[in-house]
Amino acid sequence: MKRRADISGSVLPVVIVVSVIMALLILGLLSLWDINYLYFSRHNYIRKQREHIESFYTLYCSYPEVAREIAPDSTFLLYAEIPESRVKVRIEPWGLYDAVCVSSLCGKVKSVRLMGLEAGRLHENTLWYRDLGSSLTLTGKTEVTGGAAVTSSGIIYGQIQSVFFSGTELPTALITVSGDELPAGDDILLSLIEGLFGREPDERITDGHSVRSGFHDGNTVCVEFADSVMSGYSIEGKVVVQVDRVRIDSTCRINNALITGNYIEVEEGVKGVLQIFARDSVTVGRGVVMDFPSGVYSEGKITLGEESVINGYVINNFGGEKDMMNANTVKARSSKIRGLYYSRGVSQIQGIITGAAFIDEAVYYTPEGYYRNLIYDAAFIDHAQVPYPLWLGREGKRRPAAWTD
Amino acid sequence: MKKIFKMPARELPASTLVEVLAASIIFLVIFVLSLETVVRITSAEPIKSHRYLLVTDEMETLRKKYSSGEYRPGTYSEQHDWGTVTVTIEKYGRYHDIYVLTLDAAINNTLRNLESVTLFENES
Repeated sequence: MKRRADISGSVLPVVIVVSVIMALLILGLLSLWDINYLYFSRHNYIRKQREHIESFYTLYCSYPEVAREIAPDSTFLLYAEIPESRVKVRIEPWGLYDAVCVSSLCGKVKSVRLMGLEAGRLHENTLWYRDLGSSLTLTGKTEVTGGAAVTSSGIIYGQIQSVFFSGTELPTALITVSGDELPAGDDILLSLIEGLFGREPDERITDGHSVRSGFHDGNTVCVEFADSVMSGYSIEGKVVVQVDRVRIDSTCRINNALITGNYIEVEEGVKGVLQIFARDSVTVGRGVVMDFPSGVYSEGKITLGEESVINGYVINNFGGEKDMMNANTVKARSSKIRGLYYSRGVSQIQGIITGAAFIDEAVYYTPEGYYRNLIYDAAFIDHAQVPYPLWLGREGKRRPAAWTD
Repeated sequence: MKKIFKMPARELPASTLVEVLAASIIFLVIFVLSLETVVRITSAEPIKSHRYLLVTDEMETLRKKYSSGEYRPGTYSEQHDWGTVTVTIEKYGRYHDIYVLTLDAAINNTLRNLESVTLFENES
């Protein structure tokens, strides 16, 4: 092998440049050396952001008025000495609840909670019965736990045909006098409901359509459904579905959507989370289960079938003339409501209500006729953990009705 | 017979033995480091096998303990095998039943501290 005496001038600079590039590559690789630390740093960052988001919810639930302190850029600084504790917040009504969307500034950690009201002054009585001058009769296996605000004539534990009262009598100390008018619904919510009925749809949905809109996206999707049967649809998130007369069957997947229309029937076996707003009537079939935060609102008639469960609210805001031969609200004996029951007009009420019930006039129908101011086989159960809709006002602490995305 | 490879027009200068050796060593080092790094990345279980997981779990337990409402505002200290956690409870601004709970975990043999700051409600 012939050995060269001199290394040519171009070789050494080339080696140096290549070496520097390689050294940089090695440094890059070394940064991945402690990969666990990198994972940990990311985990720690996410954990801190989650803590800030949870802290905002804690503060908001106790002091909802903190919403007034949200900066114009929709952010809220939790701790002045920790700039990273700034979170993005958006609060907007969703049906009869508030959707509170909180996210980290970088947008990597997000949370949405649909907020209702915690049991408080507005829902202090388990049973509120309008003072019609004559006494309220409880019969059969009727129970009231918690307070009751009833007519000034008080409660009679009576009988219907051969059935006597077999529940537990309410202690006198827990009975107060109600008023001659049902508490009115919140004006803001009433105008929001009017807005829902009158809203122009963005598009029309057709067979097999799926509609989804996340709460963090900011836009409410309003769709029109023209058919008479809703079958096989998947509707999720911030979606308002407008109908005229529709029957929703058990093949539909509905999650957090609002359904508005004139006549709405929810068929046997439907399960989902939906708030229904109807001008005329809502019929909830046998075995329907609507999870928190669901609800039924009507300005005409509501019928709840056997074994149906509504977690949220049932509100009949009937504004017409009462017809004693036609109940505005009928709640079947094995149906359950957790949350708020509010009925203007005539209602035949049986079964279980866990939360608070506001009743204008109770009637029990038999084949022979009807009994006024009588409640038969109904249980009104006091429960401090139930979230209420914002129907009767916004005063008081908030309670999450659902965690969503 | 047709030529398969076309020879370059200009001849390239041959490398010296020293250059070849130097380049080989550099490539070898990079190869070994890359291989080791790849093994670490693929075999690493994010956090799980690390003691930081133990620390974060412990901090979560302490967070529940100190936000239960049984502790008054002040500073507390918790000793563990892996280090010390300093717990501070203070009022949060003008909100009379909201408190700030700060956990500062100093981990033995490391400069890394873990901090957790949360709000909690205490009506009592």
